[in-house]
Amino acid sequence: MIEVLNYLIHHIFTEQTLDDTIIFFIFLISLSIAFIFLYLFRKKKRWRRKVFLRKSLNNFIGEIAICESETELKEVFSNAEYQRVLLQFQQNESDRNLLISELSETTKKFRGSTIENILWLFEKMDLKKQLLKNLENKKWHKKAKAIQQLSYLQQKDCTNIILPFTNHENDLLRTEAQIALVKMTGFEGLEFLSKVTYPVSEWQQLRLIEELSSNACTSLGNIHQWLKSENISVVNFALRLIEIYQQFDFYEEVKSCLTHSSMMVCNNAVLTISNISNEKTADLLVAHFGDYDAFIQIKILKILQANGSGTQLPFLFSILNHPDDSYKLEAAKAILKISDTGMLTIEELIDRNSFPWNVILPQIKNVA
Amino acid sequence: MNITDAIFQFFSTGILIYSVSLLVFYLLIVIYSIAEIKLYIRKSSFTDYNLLASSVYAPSVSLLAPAYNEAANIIENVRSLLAVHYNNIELIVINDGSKDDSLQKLIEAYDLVKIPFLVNEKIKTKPIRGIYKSRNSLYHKLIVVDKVNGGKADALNTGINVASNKYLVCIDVDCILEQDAMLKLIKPFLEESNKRVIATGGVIRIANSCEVVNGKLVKVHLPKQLLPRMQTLEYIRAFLLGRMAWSRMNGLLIISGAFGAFDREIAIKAGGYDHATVGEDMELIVRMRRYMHENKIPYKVSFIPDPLCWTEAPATYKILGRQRNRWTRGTIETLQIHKKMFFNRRFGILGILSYPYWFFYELLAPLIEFFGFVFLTIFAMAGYISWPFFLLLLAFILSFGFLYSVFAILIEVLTFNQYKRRTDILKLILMAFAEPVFFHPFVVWSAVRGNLDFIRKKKSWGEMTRQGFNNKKK
Repeated sequence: MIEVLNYLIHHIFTEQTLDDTIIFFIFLISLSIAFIFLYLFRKKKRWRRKVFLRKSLNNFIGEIAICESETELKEVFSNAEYQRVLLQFQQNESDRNLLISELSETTKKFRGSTIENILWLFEKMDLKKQLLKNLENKKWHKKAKAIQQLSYLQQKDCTNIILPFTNHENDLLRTEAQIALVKMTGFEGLEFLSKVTYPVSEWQQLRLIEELSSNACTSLGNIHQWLKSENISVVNFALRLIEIYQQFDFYEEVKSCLTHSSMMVCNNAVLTISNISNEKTADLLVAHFGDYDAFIQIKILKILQANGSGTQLPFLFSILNHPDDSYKLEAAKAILKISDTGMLTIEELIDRNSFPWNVILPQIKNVA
Repeated sequence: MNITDAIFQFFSTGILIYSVSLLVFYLLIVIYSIAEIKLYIRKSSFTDYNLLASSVYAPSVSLLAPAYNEAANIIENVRSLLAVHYNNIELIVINDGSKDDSLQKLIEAYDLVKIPFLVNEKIKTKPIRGIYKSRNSLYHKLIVVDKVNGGKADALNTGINVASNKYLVCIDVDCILEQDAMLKLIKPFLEESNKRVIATGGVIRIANSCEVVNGKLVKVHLPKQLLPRMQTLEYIRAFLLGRMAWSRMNGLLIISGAFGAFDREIAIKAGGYDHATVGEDMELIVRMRRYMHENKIPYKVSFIPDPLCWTEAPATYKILGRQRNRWTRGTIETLQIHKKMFFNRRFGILGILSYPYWFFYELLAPLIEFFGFVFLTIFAMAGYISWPFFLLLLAFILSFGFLYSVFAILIEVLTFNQYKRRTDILKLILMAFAEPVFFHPFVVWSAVRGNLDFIRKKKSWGEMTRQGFNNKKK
């Protein structure tokens, strides 16, 4: 070890080596500074060109958007001034992509005939070729962008191309493909849930729900299969769909999820079943109460505040002796909601002047 | 070899090995962070954060804002926090026994009334004097807790006990948030399916000289004063390069106390903030991570490179010295509390890499730098090393420092580019060259003093007088 260190000191960390390294560092510093300013210069130049192109496009897209017939569309399209503008976009790939991007952004802002006109322009300029070319790109973010734009531009005939990406190992590609399918085909697009082996994250579930919100619930046909999926996230999402779309027919399937091996599924099942509840649900939740962790137990007590009935009162009175004060509070709230004489009974059972009841009682009276 | 030669060999070799290993680590950090930032920016371009703001399924968040003697700005600060772009949220302001009229001002401004409220004291804190809610439904998200003074950590623990939501976001009441800061901070909790995300943090930026209107940042400027300007560069280096690399390795040991989000359940199970340390933000993260390791639960601490929160940096050497002194003591205390993790394979990357890195290159760095400089100067004066070699060694270290700073600026320009004017970038580059003279020696000296104060068992925070933002009203 000492010999190695001595070698390092006398042969590697010599004045000459230090000298050379400093010169190398100075070279890198100069290079970095030069690159910074060159980059800023080019960025500004690119930005100016983009602004210019966008400006030229805006009027054209604006006019196209308000056309009321195909003849009118053709008239605007053949306008010599606009043809000059469009010619610029045909010249290179990056400008064509900018045009596609502008068109897809426009579809986000408008509805109805405006979108149809934008799609007409998209077809007319044969931009789909460019998008399909982008889809072949080796860079995953470019592929994902192409998938996103295909969906914005409602290229429904591309669903078969997009479908394999819904279980792709790259998460961005996978999630964009899933969203694209749902955007283009609504509830039918959820078919990927039957095959997806990667987790559908909470974030992705929110996105899918948002996409579905603009569609009428037509088909949740495979929900039986999803509820039995080995992919826990698919089970959770299926439960969420049942809750949101009030699918009362799946009550029994949701009930079986109350005993799922995953606590997360149990948690969601509790929430879902309370939203498609019948007269037996509250008793069912009470029966499973002991199987769950504190988080779900508190949730059940909160659910009983809205869905409970007299039959759960003995259970709720027993909770008043729970060592955790949060349980006492939620149980007392539920009793007060369920029974008109609940408060009197609570006051008989507890010492109203000692903690925590000297806080809980005024609190629940205050809320009531 | 006589004893003097042996001492010389020991120190010169040690310093050399230490410096080279530090440079290698910095180099790896740069390489590692670039890929992570690139990935984040690409993914971000596909993200519509507004989805989270409007969705009824967005997770519930409790925003905790401890306040001590903040009467001058408390009304505006709370108004700004109430306007945060997130729907499923409760704002808990904890008045930590302020000696001024903070509470009275809040009561009057927000029409507060004392309510009976059961607080499940899962973490032991100083007594609560009262809990207030507004009679005005406009402020239904606001809860004000008045408690006996116990320090920032104790106030935050009280907030944790009062909070009812799934996630906690702790914020310094005088910070300025970006419009979508909350959305960006919460999103990582929803992205992971195989691991539990226990905490997230984002980049903190320096707000001195920026334009602030009604508690909102409207225009970013490079600080006009020298010290805040140097700290701007320091923050870019630390957040953009350092923390991104550690985040990629899942080895982050700190989420800034100014703005960070936590999983409430894990924060409680880990025992909440430790009020015995002045580095409570770092200590909580280390303890939460330790809890997850000890219970063998897969987890992640996330970090996002977006600038989310703007804070006022110390503008005088006196205040800066106090801040750095406290940071040093906080680091020593945290590393001391969790010394069990030092090179402990049981804690994975945390024990093998993160903890040793913090020990050798954050805690010891200022001491080695200080004493190394002193010893090398003595050796040069005694003729053990030649002056040209001494100067070359100094130039070598300085040039690497410049390179690292310039590289951080380059990454800033290529990514978030907060300072749009080219002259601002030029000024930042100049700061990189001025820093070793006007800033770094003072920071090293403050850290050395922090070590001395730790030995003297000094526990105080040190008063942090702020100048306040140039907050205009419209």
